[in-house]
Amino acid sequence: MTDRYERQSFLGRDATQIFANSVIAIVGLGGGGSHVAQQLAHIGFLNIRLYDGDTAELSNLNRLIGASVNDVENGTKKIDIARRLMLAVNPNMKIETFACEWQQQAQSIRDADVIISCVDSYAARQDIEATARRFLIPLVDIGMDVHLVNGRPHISGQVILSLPDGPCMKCLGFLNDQALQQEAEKYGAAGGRPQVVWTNGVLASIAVGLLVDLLTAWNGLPPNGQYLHFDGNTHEVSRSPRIQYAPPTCVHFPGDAVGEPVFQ
Amino acid sequence: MITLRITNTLFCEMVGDLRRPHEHAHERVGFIYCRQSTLRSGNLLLPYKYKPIRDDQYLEDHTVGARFDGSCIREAMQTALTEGSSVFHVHLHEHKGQPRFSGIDRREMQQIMPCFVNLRPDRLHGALVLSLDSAFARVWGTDLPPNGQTPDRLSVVGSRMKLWVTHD
Repeated sequence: MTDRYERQSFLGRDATQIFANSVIAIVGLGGGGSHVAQQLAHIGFLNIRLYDGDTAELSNLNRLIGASVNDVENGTKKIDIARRLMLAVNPNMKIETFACEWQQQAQSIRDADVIISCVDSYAARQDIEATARRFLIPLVDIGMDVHLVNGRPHISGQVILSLPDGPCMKCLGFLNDQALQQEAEKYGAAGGRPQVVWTNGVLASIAVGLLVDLLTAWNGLPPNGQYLHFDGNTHEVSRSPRIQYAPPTCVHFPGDAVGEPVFQ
Repeated sequence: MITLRITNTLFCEMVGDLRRPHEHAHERVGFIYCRQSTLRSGNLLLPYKYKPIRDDQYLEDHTVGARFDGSCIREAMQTALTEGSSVFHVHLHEHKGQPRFSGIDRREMQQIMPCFVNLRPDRLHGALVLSLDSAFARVWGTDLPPNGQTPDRLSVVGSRMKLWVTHD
């Protein structure tokens, strides 16, 4: 019988076993997360945690991979759509679903080896990264937005690999007080939370590529993480210049601030 | 389930320190201190500090790789007590690939680990042996077998993740 992973054997002799052993958490199963989920199933990941409390709506069908009109009519949860999609690719996957905010199941995310964050707010990213740092979990974050530039829509997105001993999203200048405050007032300027399937797909694919490289080192990643910027109008991906100005080690999450916060 | 997760920075710090030659000891020893967190079913050990044994704390004994005086154990016990930490004894086998404890290692650990378990029975403690690119550990605690237990998951977290899973 042909090995279903023979076309990706260049990833290394142990790659299939690494994917089988790793526990991956995906937070947010919308436009980005549904792409990620599908790809992880194809690659051979077996242990997945999915976190999202939302159900499929008509406005999701422009981008939600695996979703159908029936799902909208039936109010199917996004995590169940992703689960169905993944099990169709590989019935041997062990997929745990949490139809809630991840914070309500915070203990369950601690044993993930990597978290992929596909949330749509700065505040949510900040919360996930704080937990990832406390429990020494690498975090891959993706997001997109559309802004009006000179009256024309401009699509941009980012993929950030935040490692426990590297610069965090605040160090990289992606998260800051101004962005968090502005978000509270308005996020995006080209309609409510603009999202398109092709940009979600590009960003999710890059995130999965970083994840695979992180686990297999088939290509090799920069030692302190990664910050990639996507220009959705020119379709170009570039390394953010901000990463060269970030401190090599994080100044916001000290190395000894691990585990649950406690009074000594 | 017991999971031990180490940052690559700490792993490199330990390997770098433990490779330093000593005047008479054949190998070096240190301790890492960990925070212990709970998982849904089990414990997560998160090292936050490495402290090597000082040069003057090694005793001259050529029958073993390293022998150290009681003061370094007392210092490690004091840190465990005051910082509420789990303690892991660390040493290095200078080769690549999966390291294992030697017979002497296992005998020594059987003597050292009860000190920490009795001191802080609410914490897990253990021994970690590193190679240049890998690691192996054993964990002791009040609810674990007297000869310890291999962690279910041990990982080094960095731009090149390393993950070792013990299957029952």
